[in-house]
Amino acid sequence: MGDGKVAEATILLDAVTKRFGDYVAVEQADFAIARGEFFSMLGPSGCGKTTTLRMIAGFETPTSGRILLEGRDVSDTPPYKRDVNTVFQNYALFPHMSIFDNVAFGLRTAKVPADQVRTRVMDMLDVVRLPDMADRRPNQLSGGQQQRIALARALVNHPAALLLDEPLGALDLKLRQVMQLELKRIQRDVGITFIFVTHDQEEALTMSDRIAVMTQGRVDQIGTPTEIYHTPATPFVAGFIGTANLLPVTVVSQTGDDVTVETRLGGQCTVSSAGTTYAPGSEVTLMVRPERLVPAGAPLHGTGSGASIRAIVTSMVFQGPVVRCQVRTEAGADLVAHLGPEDDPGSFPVGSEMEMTWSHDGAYLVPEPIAADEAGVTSMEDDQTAA
Amino acid sequence: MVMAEGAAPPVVAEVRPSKGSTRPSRAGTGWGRRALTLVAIAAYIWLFLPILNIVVFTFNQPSGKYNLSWERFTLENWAEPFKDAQLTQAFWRSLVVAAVAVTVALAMGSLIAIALSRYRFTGNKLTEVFLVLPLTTPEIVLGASLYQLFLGRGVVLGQVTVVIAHIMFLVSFVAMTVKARVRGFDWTVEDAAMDLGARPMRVFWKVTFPLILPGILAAALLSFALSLDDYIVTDFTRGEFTTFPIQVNNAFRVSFPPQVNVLATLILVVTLILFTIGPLSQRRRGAST
Repeated sequence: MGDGKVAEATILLDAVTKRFGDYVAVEQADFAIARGEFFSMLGPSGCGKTTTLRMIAGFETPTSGRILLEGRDVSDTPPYKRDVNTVFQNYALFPHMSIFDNVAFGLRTAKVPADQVRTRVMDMLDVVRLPDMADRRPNQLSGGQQQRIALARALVNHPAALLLDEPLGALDLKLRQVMQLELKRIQRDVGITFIFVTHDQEEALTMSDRIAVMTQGRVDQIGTPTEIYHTPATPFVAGFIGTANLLPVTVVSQTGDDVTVETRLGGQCTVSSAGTTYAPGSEVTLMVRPERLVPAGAPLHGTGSGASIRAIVTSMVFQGPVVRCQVRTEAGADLVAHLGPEDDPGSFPVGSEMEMTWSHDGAYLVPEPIAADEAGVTSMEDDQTAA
Repeated sequence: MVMAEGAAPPVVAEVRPSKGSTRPSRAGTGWGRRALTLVAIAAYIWLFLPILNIVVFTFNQPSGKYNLSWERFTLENWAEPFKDAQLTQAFWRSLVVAAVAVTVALAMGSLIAIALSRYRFTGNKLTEVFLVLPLTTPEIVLGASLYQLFLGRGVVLGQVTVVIAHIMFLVSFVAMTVKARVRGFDWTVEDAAMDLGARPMRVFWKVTFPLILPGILAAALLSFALSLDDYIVTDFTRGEFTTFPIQVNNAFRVSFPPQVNVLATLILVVTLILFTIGPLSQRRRGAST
């Protein structure tokens, strides 16, 4: 992201690498976060997102590269001298202090006068909607309330950026959804840059202005939720965000917006180029999202006719809003389609033959190849329900 | 809503657990329960009868020099607890030794406990072994080796050597006690404090220290009692310096005045007060350590 180093970026990571002995936790992280942005780092456990966050906070020092905070190199600055504050995964509230004292801690450390402390703490408690809790102890609060106090304690110091390390992980689903919207509201009201770490892609998509998708220490893609979802840069991103049907293909030719690709079995189809130029002969990955696959004859989800593929139905599961239809192609790849009632899923029992079609703009060419045995549907659905 | 004639509203049956279901019973039934109560009473008597005896005999007026059999009731002993000059001097000396030794041991032991449980460093395991040694070594061996150590260096035995000896084994107790309290401590709060702008010293005094304080207080009470009580190691390292237990034993050949009981009961009462204040104040502060 060489030219992306904006002068007014709040946080800049310049080729940051972090090694623990032989283990590379973060490799060449290089991006800028703009002022007032809600920026998420998303990826599975062990991808390096928390290590990166800790480096921004100052709890880890980069092995190489620099971290700039509002233009100043803070790579070696200890956490108590950086103008960022962290909301920890387990809240880390001070158990021996009242809620008021917890929230006031940063202000008092900065020697803010007592009357200002009082005003700012009570205002912040209003912002997180817990004005009556000032005299309580952390162990008297529920998980969701503790989390909001942790947020208040960090925000009250008006840092240049707020770092959040999977703050919603310990909450139940309903509360998590409520808190997602709350956090987004607070961020918009207060206007501070939020840097949010999560493994929950739905969460990241809901809340973020931009997302950095990470895996095994590398940043695979940085983009808006729409970009990440519709135009993933790598097969990993395609599969990690929602469900994706991936097929290895080779580019035959490109004429304007139409790219002709060929599958391993020799079948050809045309895909919308979405503005990119693909070199003939290059190996790429064809991605079709499950909501774009429809049985032949049903109305296409998208414009223009694209292609079709023959397959046998292996399962048909009612999931409420959609019917999850899994099929196996002649090449042995499993594909998943999300069918609505208008697609008449009932007429395709298990074992029957079906022709899956998608529109011209319903597929996307991911500019990286996958191995033959990775063809088919990749889904994080199972991982998410387990988490 | 119109109810059809003759139709009865549905009855919701109350679900009750049947007798003899899988709910845990309280310590058995019948004779087993009674036997347990008897054993418990016997145990309490076994534990407290000697102590009770000491307290009761503070009110005794012995006819001879030994306060060992009951003569008649008196409050005189409580009026003059410091009648025996030598005994009183030894008592104050015990208190001074305990105060100094406990203070030093608390400082050293707590820091050791924090270091051992927070950091992983070379010698971590070795230090833990060294800490356990004074607790597992027979006191006679400890005392004798200290005696040999001091004598070999030409150090005069007295109050200082006693204090040094006490510090030596008290550090172990303090470290183990504080370490047990500190285990499971969420050190992230220190990160949080640093993140909020606190430098390491402020982090220690405002966050770490208040959280380990209950452990330190528990260790303080324990080590105070251990120091006052110590006989064998003290005897080897004291030279001519006498502490309370030493004095009582030395004088026993000649007398056993009721002031011994009084002073001992004083210690007991103070300890009891401290032990009840501690948990009460914690509960009031609502701290969950």
